Amino acid sequence: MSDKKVETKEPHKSNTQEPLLEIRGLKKHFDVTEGWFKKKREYLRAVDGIDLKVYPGETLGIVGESGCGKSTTGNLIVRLLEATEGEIIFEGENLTELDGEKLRQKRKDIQMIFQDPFSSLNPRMRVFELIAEPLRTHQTHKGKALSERVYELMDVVGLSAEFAQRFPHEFSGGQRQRIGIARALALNPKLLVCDEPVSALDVSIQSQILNLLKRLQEQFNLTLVFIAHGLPAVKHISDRIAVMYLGKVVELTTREKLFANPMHPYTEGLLTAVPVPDPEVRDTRERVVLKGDIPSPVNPPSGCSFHTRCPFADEKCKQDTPAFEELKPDHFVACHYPLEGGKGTIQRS
Amino acid sequence: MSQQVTPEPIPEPPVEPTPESKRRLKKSSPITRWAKLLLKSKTGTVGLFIVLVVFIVGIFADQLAPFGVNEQNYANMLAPPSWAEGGTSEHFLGTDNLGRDILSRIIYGTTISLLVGIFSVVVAGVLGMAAGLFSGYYGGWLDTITMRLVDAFLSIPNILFILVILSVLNPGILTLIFAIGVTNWVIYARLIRGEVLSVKEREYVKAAKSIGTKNMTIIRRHILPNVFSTFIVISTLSVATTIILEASLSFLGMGVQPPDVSWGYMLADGRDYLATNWWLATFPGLAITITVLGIIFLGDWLRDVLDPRSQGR
Amino acid sequence: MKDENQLLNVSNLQTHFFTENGTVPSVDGVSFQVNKGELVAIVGESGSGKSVTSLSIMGLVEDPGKIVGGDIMFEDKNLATYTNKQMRKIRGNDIAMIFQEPLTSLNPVFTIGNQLREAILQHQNVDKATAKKMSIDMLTQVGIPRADKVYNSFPHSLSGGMRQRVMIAMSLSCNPKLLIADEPTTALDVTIQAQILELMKDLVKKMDTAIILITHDLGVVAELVDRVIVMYAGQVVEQSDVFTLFKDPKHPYTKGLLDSTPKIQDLNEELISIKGTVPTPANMPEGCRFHPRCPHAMDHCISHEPQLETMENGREVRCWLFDEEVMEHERQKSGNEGTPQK
Ligand SMILES: Nc1ncnc2c1ncn2[C@@H]1O[C@H](COP(=O)(O)OP(=O)(O)O)[C@@H](O)[C@H]1O
Ligand SMILES: Nc1ncnc2c1ncn2[C@@H]1O[C@H](COP(=O)(O)OP(=O)(O)O)[C@@H](O)[C@H]1O
Ligand code: SF4
Ligand code: SF4
Ligand SMILES: [Mg+2]
Ligand SMILES: [Mg+2]
Repeated sequence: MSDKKVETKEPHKSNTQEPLLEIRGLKKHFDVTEGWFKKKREYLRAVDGIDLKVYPGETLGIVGESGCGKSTTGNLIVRLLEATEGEIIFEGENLTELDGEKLRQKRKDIQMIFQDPFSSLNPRMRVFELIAEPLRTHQTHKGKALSERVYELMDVVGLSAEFAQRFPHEFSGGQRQRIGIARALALNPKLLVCDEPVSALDVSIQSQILNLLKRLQEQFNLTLVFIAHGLPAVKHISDRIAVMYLGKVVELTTREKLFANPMHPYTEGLLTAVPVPDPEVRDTRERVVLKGDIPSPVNPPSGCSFHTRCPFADEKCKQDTPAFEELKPDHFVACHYPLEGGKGTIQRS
Repeated sequence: MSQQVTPEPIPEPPVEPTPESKRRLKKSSPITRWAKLLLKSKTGTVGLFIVLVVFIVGIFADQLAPFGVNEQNYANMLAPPSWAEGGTSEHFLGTDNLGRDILSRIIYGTTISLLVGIFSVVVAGVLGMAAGLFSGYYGGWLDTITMRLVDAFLSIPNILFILVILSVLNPGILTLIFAIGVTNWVIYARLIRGEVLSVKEREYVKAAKSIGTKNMTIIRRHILPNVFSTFIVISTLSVATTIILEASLSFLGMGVQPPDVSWGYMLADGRDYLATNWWLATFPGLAITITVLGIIFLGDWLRDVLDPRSQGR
Repeated sequence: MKDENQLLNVSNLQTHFFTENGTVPSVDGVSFQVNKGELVAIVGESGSGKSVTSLSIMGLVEDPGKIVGGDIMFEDKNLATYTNKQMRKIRGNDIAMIFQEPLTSLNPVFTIGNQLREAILQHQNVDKATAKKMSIDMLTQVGIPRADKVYNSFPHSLSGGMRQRVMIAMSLSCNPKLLIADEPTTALDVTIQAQILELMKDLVKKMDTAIILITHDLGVVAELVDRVIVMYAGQVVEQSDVFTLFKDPKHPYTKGLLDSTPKIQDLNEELISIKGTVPTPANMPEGCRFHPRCPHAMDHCISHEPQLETMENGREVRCWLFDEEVMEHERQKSGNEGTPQK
C-alpha cells in the first residue's frame, strides 16, 4: 500500500548556485473597470510585486487560499499571461521580452500541469494524440520514433500502453492527471509548473501523483514550482515554500523551518486550520481560526494586507506595510510582529 | 540532489481494461463504429433513410418522374390523387390547375429545393463559421468589427435584405443561394463566436498554448471540433428554414423562376386552392416536412457520433 | 430491536440507475442507523455512493435513478415508500440537506433574505415580519457579520464560505431533526473549512439536530462526529464509533484511507496511497469489491463476497479477515508462508 519512503533532500545551496528561474518585482493587474464611461479605472491586483528564486533541481512550493494569485503567478511564468510589470528570468533570459518563434521554442523548457484533470484534456482527443501533441507541435519526433516516444512516456507515468486509443472521459481523475504529466514531460522540460495537480483528487489518490512527481523529478532532473492551496500537499514535495496572501509573498523558507517555526501569523493560521485526523485531540488542540475571508484584491487593506484577519494586528499594522525581510537565515517574512521574536510571540505547544 | 534513487517500478497497475473496451480496441475502424451507432439509433436510421431517398430522387429526377415538369394534361386539370374519390389512375398525386402531374413536379422540385437548401447552408456555414472562429478566438478589433457587422445584419429583417439582393441581381438559383447564404451567416457567426469564447477558456486550450502550439493549430484541433456540434445543430435547423424561406421567396415571385420548380414554389402556387383542391399544396408541404425531419434526425445522430462519449455504447 | 432513541434506520437500501449502458447499482444494500441528536459521518472515496445514499433518504434521486429495494425508516415512517408529495412535507421540516456547492443551491435571482424568509414561511406558521426577524437572527447565529445587510444581498456577491453559512442557516431555520451535509466544506479553503466546522460544532451543542456528515476527508470526520460509516463501491464496509475507528481500524480500506490522510504535524511521514481506483459499476470485481486494491487479499476474497458482520461494541466490518473459519482455512492452505496478519 505504501508507495515509497520519502527521501529527505539535502538542503539546497541557495547562496552558491545560479537560480534557474528568477522572478523580480512581478505584477499582474487585471483591468476590472465596469461600464464604459468610468473615469477612474479599477484594477484587480492578482499578483502585486513578488520576488522569487528557483534553483536547479529543487521544488519551490507556493501556497495560499484561493484567489491569492497562485495560478496567475504560474500562468505568468509559462507566459500564458502577460505581466503588468517585472521580470521573469529563465536561464539568464528575460521571458517577458520574448515573443513569436523564440517564445515558442522556450516553451519546450517550461511546461505546466493543470489543476483540473477533467477540463485540461481535450475530450475529443485520444490519449495517444494528447501525448503526441507537444511532440508534433515542435516536430521533435516523427513516424515510428513518435509512437515509441509516446509509449515510453505512458510507461514512465504508469499508464499501460493499451490505453493509448482511449478518450479522457474513460479515466478516473488520477489517471487523467497522469496523462497531463506525460504531456508535460514530452519535450524534456527543465522547469515544471504544477498548478494544484492534486487538489481535485481524492486524498487516497493524491499520494500516488505526488510520489510519481517526486520520482520523475529525480529521474529527469526537473525543477518544480508546485502550487497548492493547502500546506499538506506541498509538505512532502517542496524544498522551500512560499506562502502567498493577496498577491504577495508573506513568508518564504525551507519546508523544515516553515513547519517547525512558522513566523507569519497567516502561515500559522493555515497550518492549524488543517484538520487533525485524531478525534482524541479535537477538543484540546490549539488552533488559530482565522476570522473572515480573504479581502478583495481590488481594494486591498492598507498597511499589512493581512491586518483585517490577523489576531495580532495593531495600529502600526494598519498603517505601515511590513517589509519582506530575511529575519533568520533563509527565512523571509513580511510582518511587524513575527511569531517568536517580535512582540506578537505566542506560546505554542 | 546527489542522492541515488532507483526509479521505483510503476506504483500502481492501472485499472484493467474492461472486456468491452478490449473488443473496441480490436476493430475501432470508424466506419464500423458509425454503422453500429447508426443501427443503435432508430431516429438516425430513419433520418439517413429519408435523406438518402430524397437525394436519389433529386439526382435521378429525370428518370423517375412519369411526366415532364411542365407537361400539361388538359383533360385532367385539378384531378384528385388516383386513390381519392374521382382520381385518375394516371396521376398518383393528382394534377394542378394547369393539369400538370403533381408527383412529377415534386420529383423535379426535389433537385432545386435540395440545391438551394444545402448550398445556401454551406455558404452561410462557411462564412459564419470562419467569422465566429476568428473573431471569438482572436478578439480585439477583429471581433469588434465582426460583431458590429453582425448587429447591422440582424437589425434588418432577413427577408428584406434578401429581396434587395434579389432585385439587384438576376433572379435565379445561384442568386438565391448567394442571397440566403450571405444573410444567414450572422446566425452562425454569433452562436459559434459565443461557443468559441467559452471553449477557449477551457484549460485544455491553455494547456495547448503552454506547449507552444500555434494559433491556427489550436483553432483547428481544439476549438473547431468542440464547436462542431453547435454547427451541426444550426445547420440542420437551417436547411429546414431555408427550404421554407425559399418557398416564401418563390411565392413573392423572387425565388425559383419558371420553368424551374421547387417545393416552395408549388406550395405557394397551391395555396389558393387549399380549400377546394387540397392536394395541390399538401403534397409539396409533406415533402418539405418529411425531408426536414429526416435531416434533423440525421443531424442528431451525427452529433452523437462526433461525441467521444458515445463510444463503447 | 427498535430503539427509543433511534431517529433513522436505513436497511438494505438499494438505489440503481437505469442508464442507456445498463443498470448502475450505485447503492447496493446499505444499512445504518442514526440516533436522535447524533453526529454520524459517511466517508469514502468519490464514486462510492455517498451522495446517492443521502439523496435517497431525501427522496431526491433523479431519473434514471430509482430506489429499488430496502426501507428508510424515519421515526415511524418508511420514506422509501413515500411519494414526492409526501416527501415535500418531510424535506425542510424534518430533514434538511446542504450541498457541496452552495452557489448552485441558492437561486441567483432572489436575495438571501427573500429565500430564507420564504423557507421559514413555508414551514412555519408566522407572519412576514416575524419571518424576517427570524431570518436575520439565524444569519447572526451562523456567524455572518452585518446580517441585516447580507439579508438584502444576492448570492453571487457573497464568498463561498458565507454562502455555505447561509445554506446552514436556511437548513436549520425550521429546526429539522436531521441535517444531511454532503461535503459541506470540500469546495472551501482550509481556513474557511475550519470556520465552518467550528460553527457546526457550536450549533450542534445548541440544537438537538442529528447530522449525517458526508465527506472523503477523515480529518474532518475526526474533528466533528461521534460515529463513522465507511462506504466503498456502494456498500458499507465498516461502521464504528469515531474513537475506536481511528485507534483500531479493522477494514483494510479504512486503514488505507487513514494512512493516506495527511498528518500535518508529522513532517517526515510516509506518502501513502491506496493503489488503483474505485471500480466503476461496469467493471465491479467479483468477490470482495475491494480485493484488487487490498494489500491483504486472499484467494477466498476473489470469489466470495463478504457480508457486513457485527463485532464487539456494535461495530461492523465487511471483510473475510475477521471470519474465523475462512482464516483457519487460509492458514492451513498457505502453510508456512507468511499469512496476512489480523
Ligand atoms: N482573467 C482575469 N481577469 C480578472 N481577474 C482575474 C483573472 N484571472 C484571475 N483573476 C483574479 O485574480 C485573483 C487571483 O487569481 P488566481 O491567480 O487564480 O488565484 P489562485 O490560483 O491563488 O486561486 C483572483 O481574485 C481572481 O479573481
Ligand atoms: N445520474 C446518474 N446516472 C448514472 N449513474 C450515476 C448517477 N448519479 C450517480 N451515479 C453513479 O453512482 C455512483 C455513486 O455516486 P455518488 O453517490 O455521487 O458518489 P459519492 O457521493 O460517494 O462521490 C457513481 O459510480 C456514479 O457514477
Ligand atoms: S504585520 Fe501586523 S497585521 Fe500583518 S501579519 Fe504581522 S502582526 Fe499581523
Ligand atoms: S475481504 Fe479480503 S480483499 Fe476484501 S478487504 Fe478483506 S482482506 Fe481485503
Ligand atoms: Mg488557482
Ligand atoms: Mg458526492
